[in-house]
Amino acid sequence: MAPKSRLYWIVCYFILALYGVFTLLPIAYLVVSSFKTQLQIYAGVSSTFWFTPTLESYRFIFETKPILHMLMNTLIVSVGSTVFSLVFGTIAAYALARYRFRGRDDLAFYILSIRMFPPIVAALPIFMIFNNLNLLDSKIGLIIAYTSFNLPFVVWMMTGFIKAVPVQLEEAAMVDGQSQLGAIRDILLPVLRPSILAVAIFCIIFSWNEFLFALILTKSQAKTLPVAIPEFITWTEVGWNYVAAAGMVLVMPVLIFSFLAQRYMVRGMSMGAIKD
Amino acid sequence: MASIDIRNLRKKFGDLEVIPGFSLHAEDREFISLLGPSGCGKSTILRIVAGLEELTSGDVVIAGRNVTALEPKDRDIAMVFQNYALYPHKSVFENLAYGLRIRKRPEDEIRKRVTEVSELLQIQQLLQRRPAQLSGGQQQRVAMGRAIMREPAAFLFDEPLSNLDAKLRNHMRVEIRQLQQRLGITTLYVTHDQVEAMTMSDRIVVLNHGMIEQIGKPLEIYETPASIFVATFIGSPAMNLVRVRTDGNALVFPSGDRLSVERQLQGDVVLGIRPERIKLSASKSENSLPFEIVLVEELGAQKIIHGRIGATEMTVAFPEDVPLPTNGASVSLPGNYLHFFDPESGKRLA
Ligand SMILES: Nc1ncnc2c1ncn2[C@@H]1O[C@H](COP(=O)(O)OP(=O)(O)O)[C@@H](O)[C@H]1O
Ligand SMILES: [Mg+2]
Repeated sequence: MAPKSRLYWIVCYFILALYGVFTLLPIAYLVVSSFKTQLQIYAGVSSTFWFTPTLESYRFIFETKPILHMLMNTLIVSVGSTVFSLVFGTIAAYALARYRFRGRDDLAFYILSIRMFPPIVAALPIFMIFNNLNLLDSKIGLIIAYTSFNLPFVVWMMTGFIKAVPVQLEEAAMVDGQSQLGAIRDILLPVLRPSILAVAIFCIIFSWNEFLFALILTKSQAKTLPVAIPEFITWTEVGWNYVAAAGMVLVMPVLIFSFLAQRYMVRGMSMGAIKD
Repeated sequence: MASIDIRNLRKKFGDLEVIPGFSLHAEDREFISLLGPSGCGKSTILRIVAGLEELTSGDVVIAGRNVTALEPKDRDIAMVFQNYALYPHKSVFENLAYGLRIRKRPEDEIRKRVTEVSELLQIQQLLQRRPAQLSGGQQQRVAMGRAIMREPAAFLFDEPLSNLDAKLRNHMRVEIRQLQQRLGITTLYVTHDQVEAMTMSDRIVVLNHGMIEQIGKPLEIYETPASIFVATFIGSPAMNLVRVRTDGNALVFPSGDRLSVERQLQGDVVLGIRPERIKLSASKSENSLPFEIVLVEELGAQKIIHGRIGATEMTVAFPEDVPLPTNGASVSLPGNYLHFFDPESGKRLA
């Protein structure tokens, strides 16, 4: 490849910088707003990034609402639904990837199509079913709901990842003396680890941020943090600083988590020793 | 005594009958190649012997034990795959050790065995590497090593050399054969490369559409191919085949040229002769045919000459470094190297 000209790089970095500003500005705004008082928020553009920071908003939200409880709920529901989605989704994906059976491709597409319709369509039926099953305002109910939304994604992604791993790896293990399940455990799953982690990250983030179902299906016991955030905007008060502080509490764990996990998302799954 | 017995094997994928009926007996220590074009069912047979594929009917007996209903892990076999199938997340050492680890052998035994095998294959210095850090030839060796580790009753190879470049392939061919003879392990070797089959095997099974065309020692198959299919599949350049008319003791070429032979044949026959058996000369002699040279391929050690007898295309391999006749060449076809096949069934005429 010919070396790129200086101009090429200048343009490249300019576009990237523009994109960086575009995506980071709202977050920066969230960060600064969370350290402001209500008055400072409305104080005008000049003082957007120039003010005396205060932790007042944080103190307020933790005192008025069970933030930690809701954060815990969010965590449990996210991790729970991710684990369920991965376990069931990977098993289904294995069947779709490794076995030929009548209607396989139709089934695979049908599973994906579940992901295509707007969640609101399912909201009412799910509410009524959960009402009958006594699953409203329970964490397990929310976990089931999120699992049903994450599953198609997991099945679809994992089917692709498993197909990309030559079946001969498992067969070699079986000839070496392992059972089929043992071969999956010893060989396939370790090889898939980066892929599974990448899929898990997407599942967790989806559940973590989910708003609609949490709003409809929970009340207090199982309430998650995203539902609580808009509640700082009331008839009497528009508490942007509180919204920002609660938003920070919600965003920070994901941000840190994604930062730590990003190498798994980036590191290729192409560690195979397979020549074709 | 680790013989392999495949009895009346049949295999259908849905409605597609891939193996309509296959039987084979491999003696202890024997090296048998399954040779045939792509898609003829070689891998399917091998995978059924390994237990990786279910059979529709028939029996597989390894070392006197009927393993038809057993899982691969209980069959005491080792397999080398075309893509090597090395475990990408394990070091070479652990790739080799895996079979013994599953069997929960003590650590010092595993170390000892890995050392032995890696010395045998000269991969000692690679033990700590991952498969991705190895060249194709090294991966091939590791795959071989993994197969040897447990001293199985039988080796199964599925085109193990087809991902290597030609030079390395020639080298590994010799090496695999030596190793197999040294270890004395009964081997089924699948290949579509007739050179591999010819050079490595005790016996070759030539397959076509899941059916055995011929079983025999390499030279038997070369010298007396049982059918047109075998005749064209074995040997390079491929055997010349001409459909000729018979007239008493003479063969009549489409050009009208006549060639007298010692045997009595009836009707039309397919005449076969290997390019390396044809004699090419400048002078016309009794029972030689006029030959028009069209193209000469120089391979160094030999020349491959493409030409015509009348309109009939004919390939001649010319071994020595002899100058070619410039004009008016003729060929003679020695009678004891002629093959005759039935034009309808393609079978050899006795
Ligand atoms: N799992 C399968 N399902 C359906 N057909 C198959 C399957 N495996 C192989 N076949 C078919 O069986 C035939 C023989 O395949 P194979 O044994 O792989 O041939 P070879 O190894 O000689 O190239 C081919 O026509 C192939 O398409
Ligand atoms: Mg094959």
